[in-house]
Amino acid sequence: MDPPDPKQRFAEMYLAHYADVLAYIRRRTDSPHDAADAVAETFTIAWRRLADIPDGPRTRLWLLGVARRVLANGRRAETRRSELVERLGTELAVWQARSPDPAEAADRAEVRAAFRRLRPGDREVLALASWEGLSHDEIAVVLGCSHATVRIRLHRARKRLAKELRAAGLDVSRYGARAVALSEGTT
Amino acid sequence: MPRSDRIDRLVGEIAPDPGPGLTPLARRLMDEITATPVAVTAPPRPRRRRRWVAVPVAAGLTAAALAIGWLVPAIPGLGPDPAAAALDIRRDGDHYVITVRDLHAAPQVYERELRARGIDITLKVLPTSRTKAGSVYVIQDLDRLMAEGRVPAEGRITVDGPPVGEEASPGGPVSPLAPPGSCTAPGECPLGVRIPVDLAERAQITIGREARPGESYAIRPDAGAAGEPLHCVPYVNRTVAEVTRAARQRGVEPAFAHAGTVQAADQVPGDWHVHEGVMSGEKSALFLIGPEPDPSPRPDPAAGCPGS
Repeated sequence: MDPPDPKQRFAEMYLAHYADVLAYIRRRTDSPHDAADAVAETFTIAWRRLADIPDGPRTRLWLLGVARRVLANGRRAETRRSELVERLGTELAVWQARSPDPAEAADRAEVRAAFRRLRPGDREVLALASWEGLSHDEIAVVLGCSHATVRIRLHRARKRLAKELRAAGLDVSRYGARAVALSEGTT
Repeated sequence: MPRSDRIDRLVGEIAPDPGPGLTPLARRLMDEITATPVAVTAPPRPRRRRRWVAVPVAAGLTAAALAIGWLVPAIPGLGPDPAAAALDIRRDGDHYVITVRDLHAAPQVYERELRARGIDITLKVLPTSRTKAGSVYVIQDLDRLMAEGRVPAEGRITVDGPPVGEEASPGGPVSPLAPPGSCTAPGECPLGVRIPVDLAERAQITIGREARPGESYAIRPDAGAAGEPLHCVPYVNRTVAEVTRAARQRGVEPAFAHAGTVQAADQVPGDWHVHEGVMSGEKSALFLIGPEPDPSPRPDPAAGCPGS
């Protein structure tokens, strides 16, 4: 059987995973233009390394791993932003301006501040679990470590966030209930 | 709720916006990227690290589930998870399977995650009784109804409750993932809905979740429905005094509605008649009353009960 046409394979992968890759990057960048750059960079790498991309559920994890490294490296000097990527950045900026972010609501400021005080590694493992909804095994693939390491890192990160919340005068159990009530009050 | 779950929920609640998803501009980016040719002869695949070999025996089930997921990714629970905090959205043939992961997320969070996938529906998750948890209600063609200023009536008492639409049945085009009664372990079954990929009109979909202690129901089951505390208690065309007594014997505090106002039992005439009733909370019920018996009452839910 002939191998699938590279463009077709890339298109299938791109259409299936673009929203997830954008969400991953958007949630970790402040600037919409940086986010557009990182999305373009991630998929450009994917196109160049199409033969390396695993099939099945691992495709998305592979892409998230690449996106993670792209963000960690920052924007590469030699990557010239194309006009289309400029426009994509503007589109993201317009979207951001039109849609007030629920996570920016004032009542969550304390939790956000406590989260930001965590080390980047703690933030990432918590975010992969709660924002991307990944299992321990999937986080292990994205981070390139073992299942056991993920379990330990998550446990420690949760403990440190709970400690930060307590230090800020928040009782996790009570705050959880209050946060739920407040989020429902927005209907 | 274990502490780890509370922490994860707090982190989930501060998830920043996921962005607009796959826009036409994003599709053009794909064309731009693939306009650059790449070497057709693929480099040899790097040696795959068989990380899962080292996974402890206890994780064997997860590994097996992952392996099956590779073969049949469309089966819910085995395929790829989405990058979403509150919803798990998967495509299964010509349907989307939407599982609510965070039952208490703000409606805007659901909407963003749905929009990021190009799914144009409004989703609400509202408190109801344990027996109605998992039920799905649909209002189709929402834009037209709103444009015409028509609010679809449920045909039952809603008093101050929001209209939620028609209840979706398991065989229908829009169907619940875990229909009421199908779940033997309350609170542990997936709450969600299957919707056709080509659902033409914008729909409002409401899913019932079990109310927290003391929380009022937004989806109100019939007071006499099976599983409710007043099941098999006759109340249609009984007097306010009779119904108050019977309800209180079962730990339910009744309130009574007439001409748009709701009053407590001691504020309405005891000899008025109850026409219909709904549960408004785990231990509270709301009855529609009038000075005369209802001449064409709906069948009393207690009619099929022993001793009736």
